[in-house]
Amino acid sequence: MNEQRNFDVVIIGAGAVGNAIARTLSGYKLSVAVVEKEPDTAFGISGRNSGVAHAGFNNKPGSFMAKLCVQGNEQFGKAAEELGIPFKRTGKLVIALSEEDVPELYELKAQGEANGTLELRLVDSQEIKNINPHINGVMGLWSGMTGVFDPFAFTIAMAENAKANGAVYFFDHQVTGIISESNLSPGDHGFRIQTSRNSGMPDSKNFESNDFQSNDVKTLPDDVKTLRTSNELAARWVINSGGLHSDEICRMVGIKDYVIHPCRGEYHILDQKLSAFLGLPVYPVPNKNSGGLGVHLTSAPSGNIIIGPSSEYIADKEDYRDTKQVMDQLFAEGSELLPGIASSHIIKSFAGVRPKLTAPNQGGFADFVIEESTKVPGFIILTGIESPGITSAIPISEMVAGILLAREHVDKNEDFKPIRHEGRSLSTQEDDARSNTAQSTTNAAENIICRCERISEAEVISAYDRILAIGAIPTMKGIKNRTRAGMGRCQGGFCAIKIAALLQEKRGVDPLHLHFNSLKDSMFVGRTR
Amino acid sequence: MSLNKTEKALRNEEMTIKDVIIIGGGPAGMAAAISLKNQGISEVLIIEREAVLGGILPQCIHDGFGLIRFGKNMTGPEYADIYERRLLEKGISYLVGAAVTSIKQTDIETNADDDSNSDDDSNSDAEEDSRSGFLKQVTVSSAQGTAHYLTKAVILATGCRERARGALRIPGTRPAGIYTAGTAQNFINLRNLMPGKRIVILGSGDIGLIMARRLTLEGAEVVAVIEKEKAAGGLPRNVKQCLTDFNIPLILGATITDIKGVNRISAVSVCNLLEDGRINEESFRDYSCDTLILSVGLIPEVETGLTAGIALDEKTAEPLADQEGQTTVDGIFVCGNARYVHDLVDDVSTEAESLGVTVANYIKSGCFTLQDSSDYKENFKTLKVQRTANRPKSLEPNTMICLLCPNSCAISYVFPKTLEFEESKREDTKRGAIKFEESELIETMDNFEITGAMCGKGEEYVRRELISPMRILTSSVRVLGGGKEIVSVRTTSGIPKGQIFEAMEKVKALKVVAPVEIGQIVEKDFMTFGVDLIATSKVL
Repeated sequence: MNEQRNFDVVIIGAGAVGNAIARTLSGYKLSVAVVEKEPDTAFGISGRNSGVAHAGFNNKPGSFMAKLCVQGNEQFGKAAEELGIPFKRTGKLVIALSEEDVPELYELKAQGEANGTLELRLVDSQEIKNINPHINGVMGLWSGMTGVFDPFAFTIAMAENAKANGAVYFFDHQVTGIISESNLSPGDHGFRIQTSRNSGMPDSKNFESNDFQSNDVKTLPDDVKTLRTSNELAARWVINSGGLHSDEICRMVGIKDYVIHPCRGEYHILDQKLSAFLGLPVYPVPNKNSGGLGVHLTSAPSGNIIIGPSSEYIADKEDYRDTKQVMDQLFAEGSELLPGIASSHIIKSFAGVRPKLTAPNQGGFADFVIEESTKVPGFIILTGIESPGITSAIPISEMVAGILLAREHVDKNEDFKPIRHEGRSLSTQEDDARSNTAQSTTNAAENIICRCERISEAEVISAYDRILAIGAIPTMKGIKNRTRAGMGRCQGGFCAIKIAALLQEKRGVDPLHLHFNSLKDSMFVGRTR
Repeated sequence: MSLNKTEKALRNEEMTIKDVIIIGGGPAGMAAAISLKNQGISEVLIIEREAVLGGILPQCIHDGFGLIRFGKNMTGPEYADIYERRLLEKGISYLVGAAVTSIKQTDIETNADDDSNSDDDSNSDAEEDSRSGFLKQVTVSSAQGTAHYLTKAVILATGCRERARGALRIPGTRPAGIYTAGTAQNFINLRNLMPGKRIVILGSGDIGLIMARRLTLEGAEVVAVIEKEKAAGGLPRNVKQCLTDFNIPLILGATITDIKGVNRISAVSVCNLLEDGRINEESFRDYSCDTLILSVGLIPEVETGLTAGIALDEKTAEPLADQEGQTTVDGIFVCGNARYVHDLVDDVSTEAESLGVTVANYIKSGCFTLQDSSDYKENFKTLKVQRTANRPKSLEPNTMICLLCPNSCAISYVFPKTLEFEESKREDTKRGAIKFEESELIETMDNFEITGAMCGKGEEYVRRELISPMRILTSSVRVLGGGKEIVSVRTTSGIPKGQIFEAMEKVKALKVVAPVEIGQIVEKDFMTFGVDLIATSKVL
């Protein structure tokens, strides 16, 4: 069953950057595919960060990081509006906790101004108190352009919009090899992209035969069904947006110039009841050698305060563990910025990993690499896309499009629609739900499934359908990332029960085939009777 | 006194002003409602977010409920049924599948005349009768849409929630297979789903202990129950009948320091705790498992009350309330596990009934209270009924915990010298039973020296336990053709402890055809034990 499929462009990695590229390129008359090893989008580092739209003052003038971050920040409001995702331009404070940190604030301000960051202003301790009475600091740098957004919503929304504009997604397809052939298409370089599936056929059979067998259940879109059985793709262009694994993808075509050094950042998420304490992200003055921006406090749009991230080089790229030492350290450092937080306020801890090009002994930041390989024409390398990568995702995608368009003439896709309609807002969903259940007297939009985050039945069902619509494979995590059901203070204790029951009732999903985080796990081991 | 437009609209919609809205239809809410009705309060409405009444009780299919309140041993669903029946008899209204999203204080006085419609209400002499509170607006979201109710008083009977992993700061991965005890209990007892096969339980609260037995009976292996304190958190009777009976190791003074496994949990690391609470690194060891059950504490859940501005005790997260059960917001009361986490549902019912009287008096007195906010904490503490307070840390030889009621008496017995037991008489020491000739024991019973029993039943219990220990079996049976896959069952009386696994095999093979009623005999003379197996919940 190795039906080969041909595309103009295959993008490797359905993270924020991969999805942004797919969305941007779907604005042209190109056939675009995205291959992703995980069952769903935003399962990697795009869903494991602070969710801050940076203003660009942390990066070296003249770097891609500085330029694209400033651009991305300026465009973020428009993008958020088109995509229908939560974004708040909250502003941000960088705090000097002692006098010796003060010179660094001046440097940051000067650097930001050189980068074109707007609305930077030094504030004294009194003004800090005026901005937020709970924050301590001798001096601060106020950045009016910085904002916060939901990184899951952003990443997923771009995938949905790309898909709506014609991009095709292959989830659970891990790239295992890339063969570049010069004779694949006339006069151009061609690639064959080999993939393997984690779930294997038996698992996908489970999905097809059990989850979608009954007639009243939504069936998979036809293209998804066919493509699920194909393991090899062909493309004229390959865009390596493999994040943590971008160096390995490079090596598949013989490019050995890059080594990703994974650097873990752990976080704590605090209960929403503290939201009044913090209305904006607060950072300490960064330590230049740490390779991160320092442990900071972020006020997520959901109202949760996020403490983190730490910075620790690790051996395994996907070692997303929490460690005792860092958990304690984060809590202590978070308390220093915002006195009064308690251990009982922590509702969850998590970790992300930065795909750094700087080795542990170097520290600091290298610039983004965004270029077409000179050795392998048609192969576009994106590597070292760490912070501020997600802020820069859309400008990065435009830069990639520029590289491609400089090489060949492609017409614009006149049908391209940048506005996302799927799962856009509660009111849209309510309308959908009402029309879906026109005959019934019940209102799925008002039936609360997740009590902590007040997520309705309609939102959960819509999330499930939206997962299938982009060709992803449903998991509890995918539903959580789309709805926030399970992200609240009970951490899914109540709603996991209801979601399992709801999916069984409304979508015919056998709970025994319900996955939690990945296709290799299951929520249950069997039935009692 | 002025009415803004929204309030006017609400009242013009001929909305009945409720006397009391009770949020939560569990044991506390139902008992409070019945009590209010008995006091002559007519407009009482219970709002329950689940599809059925009963709160947490429907999933608590084990026995031990009602011993204090009714002198009768019941399961959770049976206990709930008593109250549900009374509720229906009294014609008390309730909504199910309805979530309260907010409670707001209005500026409408509770004794304001319904016909008063003049716009210059503010000029009327409110001073004349100051015995008035203000109506509250309760907003409810359900499959029928959003509705607003006006009420004179609100009772928060919203129960509690389980502490999750976050606050414990357990390091490690975040794989599948980590459940709180109550979530696992719901899956097994109501949804017919097994969460795992090889289980570690963190925390020895009652639900954790109950789940250790439940999972064992369902064929899972409970590797260990790990407790950071020096004694189990749950009732001594639960330690005995859920752990000791099944030889499940209870590891005291230890905690989980790491969670392993990328997709599904594969192991936990356990370390002993030093006297100062720090981890003894040298005691580190791994337990392989596919499931971690967390039974690490319950927290009152009063989020709906917070929307009205009630204050919480910073340390315990319990709502501050005076002795009467009134929160820091006038006219908003709290009872049951929403107030503080009770050891027994019996105590919840008693407290809620008493609150019913208090709230009835509040309504009758024109919703006027003079709150003394200074003593919230003190009053609150003295009021608590703690059934686990005097639990024994360890048992002396020849002492047993009486299983007959939650008092969990530690009964000591001394045999006459002539009847020291020989090891050969310890048949199946694994299960702890000692083989006696019954005549032998009865003969010497008079010579027993028994101490520590709070009632006469203790003696009888010790004798029975020594001759042939008996246990009530609670489980579930497959239902054919009903709205649910399984129905909860129990034996009407104890069956031999040594045959409990055989009995489980029999239970697993049984099938019953819907509809099933509570108390319906599923199997007469179950396994010729002389007891029946009866349904403890209904399936339509």
